[in-house]
Parts: sequence; structure tokens; C-alpha cells
Amino acid sequence: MKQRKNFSYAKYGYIFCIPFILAFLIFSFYPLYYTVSISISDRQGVPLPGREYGIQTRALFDEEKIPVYDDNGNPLYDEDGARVYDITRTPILDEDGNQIIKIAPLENFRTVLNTEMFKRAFATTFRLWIVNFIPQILLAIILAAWFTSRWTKIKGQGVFKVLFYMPNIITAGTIAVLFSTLFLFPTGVVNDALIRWGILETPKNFRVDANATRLIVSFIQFWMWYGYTMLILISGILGLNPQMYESADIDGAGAVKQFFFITLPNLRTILIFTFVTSLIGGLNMFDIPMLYAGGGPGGATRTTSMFIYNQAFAGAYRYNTASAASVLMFLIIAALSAVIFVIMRDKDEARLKKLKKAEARAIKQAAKAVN
Amino acid sequence: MTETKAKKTFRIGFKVVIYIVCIILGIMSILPFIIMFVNATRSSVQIQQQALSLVPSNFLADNMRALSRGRTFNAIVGFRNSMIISSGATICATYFSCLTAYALTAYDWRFRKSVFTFIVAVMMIPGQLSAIGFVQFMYNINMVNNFLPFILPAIAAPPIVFFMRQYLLSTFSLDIVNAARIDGSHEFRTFNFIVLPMMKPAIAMQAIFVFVGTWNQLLMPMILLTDVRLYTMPIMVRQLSGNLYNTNFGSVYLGLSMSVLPLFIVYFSLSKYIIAGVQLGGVKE
Repeated sequence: MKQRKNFSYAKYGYIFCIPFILAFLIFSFYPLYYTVSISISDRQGVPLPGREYGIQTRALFDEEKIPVYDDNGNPLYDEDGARVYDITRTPILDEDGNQIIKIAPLENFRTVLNTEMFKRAFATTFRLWIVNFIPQILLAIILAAWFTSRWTKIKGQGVFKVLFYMPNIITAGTIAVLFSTLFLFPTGVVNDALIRWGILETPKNFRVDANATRLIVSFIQFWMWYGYTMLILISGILGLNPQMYESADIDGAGAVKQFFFITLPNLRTILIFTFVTSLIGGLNMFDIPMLYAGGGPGGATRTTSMFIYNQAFAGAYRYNTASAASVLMFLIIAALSAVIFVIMRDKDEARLKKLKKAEARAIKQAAKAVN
Repeated sequence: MTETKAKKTFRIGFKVVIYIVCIILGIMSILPFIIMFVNATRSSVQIQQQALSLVPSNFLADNMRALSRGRTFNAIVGFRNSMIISSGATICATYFSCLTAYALTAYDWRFRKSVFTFIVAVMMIPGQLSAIGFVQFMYNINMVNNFLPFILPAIAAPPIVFFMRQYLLSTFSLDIVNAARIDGSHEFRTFNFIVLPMMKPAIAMQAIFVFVGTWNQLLMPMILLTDVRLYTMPIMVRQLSGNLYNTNFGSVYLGLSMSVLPLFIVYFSLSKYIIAGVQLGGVKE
């Protein structure tokens, strides 16, 4: 009876899923499909209303550089001191004014991969991520071990957790502008403090030092994210089976030994999760480098996301190469995630699975043979 | 368990080290914001003479005036626009995620499993991948300078559906729904008036994250909102860095403070739930 009743209600399952599926198809799937299709075409974007005046400040290809002059006939320079070029290309239009789109499957990918600026942006992004991720995961593991240790029993954990996680919830844009204000030259807070404490003689211009700027961007990322990583690891540790620790106590294993031989190995899944999510977020880094330094000095903090943004929306409207760069970044991130997964997964378990599969296959074959 | 004296001293010393490290990290988290709030009350001349100070001054009103002279930064407009977008997205994301999760748990239909697998799979795709297609699509359907491109996509929020499904699986029983059916309640009505109220704790937790996440968005609003009157708070903050060149430091700090204040209020009044929410998110994987 109950079975039949459920059956008659099944259509509501479909009906209630319709909004989700529609919104997904319209706002996620179609744009994704559209991006991929743009990446294999020569489609250029059009300036959005209100942005028609844009001129591209940084040229991508040497042969296309058309210098831009101001009203007095002097060459124009951007904030990094680089010459400004106009590389807006007029798309080919048909009689109705629509752009004629040609399809060239690999051309944009080849263009992007041959672009020095993209390669440099990728190296920069990776560097910014790794320099913030390694100290972040180490600190998070140490803090998580301290906070969950039965040996030390730290009080006031709630307050510390709230404080450590706080920067993560504040608008990244605000934090970037705040830090660029704090690191201002010559009268910023950091310069003021360093001079007063006698660390510096004269104010240092952090903005023109490529290494300092990169380090500060990585520090901001680290500062925003270690609290989050710590919370994830703590919940992972608390989710472990307490019996393991009890038996370790009986065996006489100390706190340090328990951490290295029980906690860390059993935390593997959570560590993979943190690693992969941090990789995805880190290689898509945009807000902090964009608003802290605008990619400067001289492109030292230009990430791939900023490269894509500059390509597509900062005057040139090269949607085709920008889309190709997005797709490339996705493929790279997916491949790196897969590598992390393969390296970090439980090798014994994988071997066991393989064995089981082989066994099942053997049984099947045996059954077939008998039949 | 007995402990030797040496061991005990070692443990206490170790604890002291831990507390010192934690206190330093805590100060590191909060200090930039304290400096920001303090400097928002000081004049640009004071800041230039001594940028690092923990003593508030009385130039708040002056800074406010200097800030409102700027053409693009308008805290009230930014606040209103961010509020509309974030509330709209939060309502869409929580309501429709609950509805989808309910469809995935309460009803037995043919593609239930495949739809769920699909939702888990698309959770992994970063949104930035489709940014260009999204912008071009919005341009084609005349959605530039409109809030809907930031609100409607929230209807399909795979991670929230995932969370809501877990919540329903652990707390929900079909008996209540069956009772409502016997009383003649329509399925949609049952969901709105019986199931939805039961999901309040989960909704509250996810609502905070959707709200803050939408509030903090920069890239898409920056591209799709070209009209100054529609700027959200983060875009306004971006304009602030222009004030740095005019050495209007007090007003920059004030503008930043105004953009942080709403988030501070939300965070410190709901911190318990937020921390719990983050930790729950970790367990689900």
C-alpha cells in the first residue's frame, strides 16, 4: 500500500527539481558551453554599456602594437610606467552588424601557450599560492593538534577560533585596500612602526619592490586562510575514532607519537580536501593581487585570473584568447588535483580495491565457465 | 595517571608557549582592523605624522565630509545595493536548495540517484571557468547593469543542496509528511509549512555563508555593473584606493571601516554558528 502511495507522489520529485535544473542549465551550463565555444572561435567581445571609451593598456602581441598618444601628442604611459598601446581590433561584421565568427579549434590555445605574459602569470600564481599554502597548512596542523590535544587541554579555544577565522569573512577587496594603505610609502603604518622600532632607517617603498609585493600578497592570503584550514582540520581530528587513542594510551604511546602515527595518517582524506580546495582557490586568485598592487610592480603579481580579466574586460575584449586561457587553467587545475589525489591517496587501500576487483572478475569468469 | 614533577613543569611550560603563540596570532588577526578604526577618526595630517596609533581622535565628521565629496564612494548606496543582491541570493539559494534536497530525499523517482551524482560532480567546477561566457550571455539578453544576474544563479547552488540533503537524511522522517497527506495537504503546501520550518537551523547556517559570500563578490559585479548608482560595496572600496593618491588617508580608513562594519556585526554576533558551520563543512567530505 505504502509502496503504491509513494509511487503516485513520485512526480513531485521531478517538479521540485525543476527550478534547480533550469537555473543550472541557464546560468551555469550554458555559460560554460558558451565559454568553451568562444575559446575555439575568433569571437571578440563588445564594450559593455558605460565602458565604450576603454583603450587597452597592455599589448599582447608585438606586431599589433599601436602606440597611443595623449592630446598633446606625447606618448601615454600606464601606472607601471609601461607604454600604452591600442590593440582593440575591429571585428569583421556582416550586413546585419553581427560579428562573423570563424572556428579555429586550437589556434587560441596555441596563442595563449605561446604568450610570455601567460606563462609568467601562471608561474607567478603558482608561486603566490605555494608560498602561502605551505606555512598555512603547517601552522593549521600545529594549531589543530594543540587545540585537540588531551594532554594540554587549552582553554579559551572559542575566542582563538573566532579571532583566527575572522579575516576569512571580511571582503577580500577591503583587506587588499587596507593592506595597501598600511604599507603606504612614505607615511604608512608599517613604515612608521619599522622606523620607530629602529628596524628601518628611512621609509621603504614596498610597492616598487617585486619580491616584497609578492611576499605581502602571499602573507595576506596566508593570514586570511589559516584559520579556515585549522577549523577544517580540527573537525577532522574530532571525527576520528577515540578508541584508537585509547588503545594507543594502553600501549604507552606519547602525545607526539600518537599525533604522527594515528592523527596524521587518518587525516588523509581531509588533507586531500584542504589541498585540492586550496589549489583551486589559489590558482584562481584575483581579488588580493588585483586590489593590493594591481598586478604590479611590472607584472610581478599578475595572476592568471588577472591575465584573463585584462584580456577580456579591460579594454581589448579578446574574449577568444581569454576563454582559451580559462579552459587551459581549468585543465591544469584538474590535472594537478588528480596528481595530488594519486600521490596522497591510501596506497594500501587502492591495492586492496584492485585485488577485490580482480577477485570479483575471477569469480565471474569461474561462474561463466561453470555455466 | 601520575606525572613526575619534571614532566608537569614541561607540560605547563609547553602550555605557556601555546598561549603566547595563540595570543600573538589573535592580535595579528585583529590589529589591522583596530588601526583602521582608529585612523578613521584621525585627520590626514595626524596620520602622516604618526600612522601607527591606538588613540582615537575627533576628526570622524571631517573624514565623513571628505569621503562624501568623492564622486564614486557612497556608503549608503553601496550598502543598499549589496544588501539587495545578498538578500536576494540568500533567499534563492536557501529556499530552492531545500526544495531540491527535499525532492531528492522524500520522493522515490527514477533519476533521483543520477541527479544527486550530477550535483556532487558539478560542485567541483570553479565558477570562474565560465565567467566570459556568462558575461557575453548576460550582454546578449540585456542584463548588464541589472541585479538579476547575481541573484537568479543562486537558485542552483550544488554545495548547499548537498548540505541540506545530509541534514534532511539525518533529521527527517516521512511520517509527518504522510500525516499531512491524510489531512489533505497539497505536497507544495506541506513543503512550505511543515518541512521548511523544520529545516530552520540548517537554513540559518547556510544563509550566513551565502550572504557573506555574495556580499564579498568582486569580479562579476565589477564587470557587469558599469553604472555608479548600482555599485556594490566591494566595488566602492576599490574606488577608495584612488583617494590614496590625494593623501586623503583619514577618509580612506573611514570608507574601509564602513565596508567592514556590517560584516563585523554579523560575524561577532553569529560567530558561534559560523564556526560550527565551517567545522560541519569539513566533516561532510
